Amino acid sequence: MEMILYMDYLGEFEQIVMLAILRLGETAYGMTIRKEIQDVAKRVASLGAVYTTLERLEDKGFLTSAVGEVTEERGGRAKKYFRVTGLGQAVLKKALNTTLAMRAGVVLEGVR
Amino acid sequence: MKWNSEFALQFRQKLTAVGRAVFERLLKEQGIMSIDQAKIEAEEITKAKAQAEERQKFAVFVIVLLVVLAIVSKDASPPRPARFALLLIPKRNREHLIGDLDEEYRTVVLPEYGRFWAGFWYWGQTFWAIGPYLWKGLKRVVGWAAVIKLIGG
Repeated sequence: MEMILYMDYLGEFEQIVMLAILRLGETAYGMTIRKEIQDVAKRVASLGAVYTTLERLEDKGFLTSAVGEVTEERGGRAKKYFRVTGLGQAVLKKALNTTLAMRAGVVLEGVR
Repeated sequence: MKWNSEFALQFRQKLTAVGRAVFERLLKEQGIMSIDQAKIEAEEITKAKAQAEERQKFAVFVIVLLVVLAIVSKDASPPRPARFALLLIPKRNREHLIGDLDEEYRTVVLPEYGRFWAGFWYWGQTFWAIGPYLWKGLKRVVGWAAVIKLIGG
């Protein structure tokens, strides 16, 4: 059985952020990631929490970033787009499979 | 001993001029404050209380005015004093985070809620954004302190 190294472990919020980025595709930057988490996961998160998580994931090599365009609404500040790397996808897949493996055979009321 | 000013005034009104002079002399001999002095003191206390209340009301007014000025900006831009608080965010993603906040402020919050509530929202988001960075910094500081303690420093 393949063991997950400590460094590969993804926390719950990290998984949510990575999934939000994958859902958004090319338009994943701070504001849209936060909005996606609020709309889909029904979870309220501050921009500070989102960005500290993005920084942590980028440092681990699970995300890459690229500076985007400057707009007037942003007061002349550039967007920073994020993308999940191949390593990030592999680690995310492992984390989700772990949850599914633990979930197998467990009966929760009201949950299919 | 002090006279109750109201009682003293009523009592005094009932005395004649001579009676009044004798009475006040007696009070002085006994080391008791005269009716006039009591009246003056009571008036001074009332005046001082009224002045203190006025100063308090003025201070509250000034504080409320400063808070409103800090929250509401003169034009459609976000409240400028909040920018100083946002300087606590590390340089790496500071400009991108502020850009995201400004974008949401201008495109979503301001058109829907107006300048006052949008300013309020911006301040709330500012403190909420800073929180995780302060916590991260604190953990780093506390972590080092714990390490130093461990190695006997």
